[in-house]
Amino acid sequence: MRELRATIFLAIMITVTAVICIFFRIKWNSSKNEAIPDNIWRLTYQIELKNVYAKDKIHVTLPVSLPHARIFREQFEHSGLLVDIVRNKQNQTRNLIALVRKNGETIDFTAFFDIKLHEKVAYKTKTKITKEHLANYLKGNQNIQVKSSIVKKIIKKWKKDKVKQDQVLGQIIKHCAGLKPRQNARFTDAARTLAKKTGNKLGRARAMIALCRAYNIPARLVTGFLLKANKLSIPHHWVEIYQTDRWVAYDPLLGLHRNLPVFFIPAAYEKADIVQCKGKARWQSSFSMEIVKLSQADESPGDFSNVFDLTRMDSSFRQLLSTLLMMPLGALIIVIFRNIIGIKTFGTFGPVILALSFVYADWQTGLALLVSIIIIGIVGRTLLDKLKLLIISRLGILLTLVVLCVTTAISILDFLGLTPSARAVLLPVVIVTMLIERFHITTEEDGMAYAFKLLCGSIIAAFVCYQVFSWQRLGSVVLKYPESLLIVMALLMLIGRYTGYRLTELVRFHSIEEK
Amino acid sequence: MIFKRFWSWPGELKQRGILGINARNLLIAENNQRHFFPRVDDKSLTKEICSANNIPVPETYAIIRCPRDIKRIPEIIANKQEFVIKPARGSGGRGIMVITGHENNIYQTPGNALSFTEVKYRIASTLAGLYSLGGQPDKVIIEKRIEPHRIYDDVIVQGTPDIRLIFYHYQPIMAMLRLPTLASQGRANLHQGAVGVGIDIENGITLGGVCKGRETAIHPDTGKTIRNLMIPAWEQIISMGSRLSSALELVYVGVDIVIDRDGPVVLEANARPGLAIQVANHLGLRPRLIHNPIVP
Repeated sequence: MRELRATIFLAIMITVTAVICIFFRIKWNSSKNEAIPDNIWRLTYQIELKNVYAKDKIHVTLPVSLPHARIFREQFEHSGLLVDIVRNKQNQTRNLIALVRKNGETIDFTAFFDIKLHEKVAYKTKTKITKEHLANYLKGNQNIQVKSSIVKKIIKKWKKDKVKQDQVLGQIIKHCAGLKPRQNARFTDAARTLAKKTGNKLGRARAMIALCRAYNIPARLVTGFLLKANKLSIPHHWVEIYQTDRWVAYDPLLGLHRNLPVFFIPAAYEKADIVQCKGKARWQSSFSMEIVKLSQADESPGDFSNVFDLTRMDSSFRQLLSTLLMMPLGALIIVIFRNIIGIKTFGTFGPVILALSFVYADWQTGLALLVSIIIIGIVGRTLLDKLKLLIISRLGILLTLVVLCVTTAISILDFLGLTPSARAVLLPVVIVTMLIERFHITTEEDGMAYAFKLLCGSIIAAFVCYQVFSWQRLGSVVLKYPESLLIVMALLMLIGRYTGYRLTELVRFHSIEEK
Repeated sequence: MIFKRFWSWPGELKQRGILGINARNLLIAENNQRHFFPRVDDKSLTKEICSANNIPVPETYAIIRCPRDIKRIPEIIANKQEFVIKPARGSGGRGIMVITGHENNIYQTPGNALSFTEVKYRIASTLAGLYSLGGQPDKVIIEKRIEPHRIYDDVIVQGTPDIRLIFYHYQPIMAMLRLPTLASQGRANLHQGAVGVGIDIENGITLGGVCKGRETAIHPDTGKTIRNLMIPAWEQIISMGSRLSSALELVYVGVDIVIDRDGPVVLEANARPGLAIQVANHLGLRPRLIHNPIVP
C-alpha cells in the first residue's frame, strides 16, 4: 500500500513538473517566436506524392525574394520528377512545375530556401500595371463574391452610416479585423465569412478583398509564410491593395497594415494554395522553418538555455531526435497492450522498432517486404533444422538470409518500376531474424495456433505503434516539448501498479461461476 | 436469438475471487524476494535444496554443464534404459526428452527414434540456451524417468501427469492435477491441450476439469472419468510442498509433484505459477490469500 501511494505521489509530481516545464517553455518560445531580423532562416517545403502516375503534374509556388528577405540559396531534392521553374514577370512570382516520369508508389519532394532577413522592410517601389491587368483585381469569382448580397448589404449599411470615401479602407480593415477568428472554419469564401461574421485567415482575407473590390479598390490575395521560430507551419494569407502606384500590404487577421514586419514572406498572388497537383496522385505537404546557424557573423551558441531547445538543431538531427523521442510512446503502447488488454507479443519492444522502421519506409512496401521475408525466413529456418546447427550459427545464417531477401526485394521492386522507398531497407533485420527464430521455436514447443496468436499480437501492436509514430504533429510536439515524455513516464509508473484484470481475462475467467 | 455474454465484468470476477495476472505479479513482486528466484529457475538448485531437506526428487544421473561433457553420456546411461534429459532452466515442459529405451546409439522417445547425433544436437542447443529463461546458457539434467502411479492408468495415454500446488506463506491454497493428452503430445501443459483437474485441497479428491478452456468430466482420449479420483499420499504431498516452499523462502510459489510408483517426488518449483489453476478448480485464489489482504 505504501509503495502504491508512493508511486501515485511520484507520478503526480512528475506530471506536475512536466506541465510546469511545458508552461515555461511556451512562455520562452513566445518571447523568441518572432523572426529575429538580420538572421538566416531556412524555409522547407516537404511534399509527399503517393500512387503517382506518369504525367501527373505538380505546381509548387516558390517564395518571393524581397530586398529585405533575400533568398540567397535554394535547393530541391526529388527523384522521379522532371522539374522546371517558370517566372511570372508581372508579379515576380516563381512556379516550379514538376512532371512525374513514371508510375510508381511514392515520391518525396523537398525544397529548402535560405532567406536572409534584414532589420527593416525595404519600402516597395512603384509598380506600374496596365488597366487590363488591374481589372483582374476588381473582378469577383466564386470565392471572392463581390456582387453577393452580404457585400451589398454591408456597403448599403455603410452608405447609410455616411462613411466617406476616404474612410472606406479604414472601415473595411476595421470590419474584417473584427470578424471572430475561427481557425478550423470549413468555409473560406468571402460571402460566408462576412455572413457568419467568422472565418479563418483565408476567409478573412477574401472578405477584405471582396469589400475592396466592391468599392472599386484593386486588391489581391497574397499567400505566403510568417517566419516564426520552431514551427511546423501552414501558409498564411493576407491582402495587398493597389494604392498610389504600388501594392500595399494589409493583414486583416493580425490587424497590420502598410509595412508588414520583415517576417512576412509572400509566395503566391491570387492563389490560396502553395502546392497544386493535377493528376491522379494523392499528395500531402508540410512546411517548416528554422533559424539556421549563421556562418559568418555570429558563431557563438548563444545562451546555455538553448540546450533545452531541440528544435534549434538542423533538420537531419531533428528527425533522428524525433524518432528517439517517440520510443517511450511505443513502450507505453506495449505496456497497455500487455498489462491492460492482455495481448502477448514476440519480444517486448520488437513491435516498437518494427513500427519505427515502417514510419521511414512507406508502409505498403515495408509490409510487403516484411511478409515476404517472414515466409522465406520460416521456410529457410525449417530447412536449416535438418543441418542440426547450433543456435548462434543458425541465427547468423538466418540474418544473412534476411539481409539477402531485403536487398533482392528492393532491387526487384525497383526493376519493376515500383520505386520502393529507399528507406525500406531500414527494416530492422535483426528484429525480423529473431522473430522468425522465435516463431519457429514457439510453433514446435507450443503449437502453431499459439505461435500465430503471438505473431498476430505483435503485428497489431506494431500497427498501433506505427499509427502513433506516423502522426507528424505528435512528433513535432514531442520534439518541441520533450518534457512531455515525463507524463509518459508517470503513466508507465501508474500502469506498473495496475492490478486490475486484463481485458482478455474477462473472457478467460468467465467460465468460473460464482459459488 | 438470445445473446449470451461471453465475458464477465471486472466486478463480477472480483466477486468470484478471481486473481488476475497483474495482481498476481504484484503479489509476487511484493512477497517473493528476487534473489531467491534462481532457486526455482534452476532445477538443479531446486533439487539440491530438496535433497538438503529430505524431500524426494527423481534421482539425478548427471548434470551436463558444457559441450565437452556430452561425450560422457553413453557412459552415464550405459546401464539405464529409461531416463529423462531436460534443461535446468527451462519452463512449461519445453526441451524435455523422455528416453524410453536405447540400443546401438538409437534412442527411443514416446513419438520418435533419435540417433545419438540428434540427441547430442538437442543437448548442445539446450546448453546454448534454446529453452532457458532469457536465452542464457544452461545446464542439462539427466535424471530417472518417472513411472506414473497406477491410479492414472485410466486417464493417461502418454506422458506423466503432475500435481501443481500453490503455496502461500508455506500453506497450500489450491491444487490441480494436470493430465497429458495426445493433443499436448504427452506434456502436462494446459496451453497445449492437457487436462487441468481441480483437487479438493482438504482431502486430495479430484473435482471436475477443463481442457482447452472447456469444462470436462472425462479424459478426452480415454473417455474415463476424471472426477472423484483419490490422489494417493495426499498428506505426504502437502507436507513435501510445504517444506519445500519454506526451504525456498518464497511466499508465493507453485510446486510440481509427480507420483512415482515408489511415491511422490518433487519435479520442480515455479516462482510465477500460472492462473489456470483457478479455471481447473472453478474457484478464485483471492479469498485464500488471507495473509495478504493488500491484493486489491
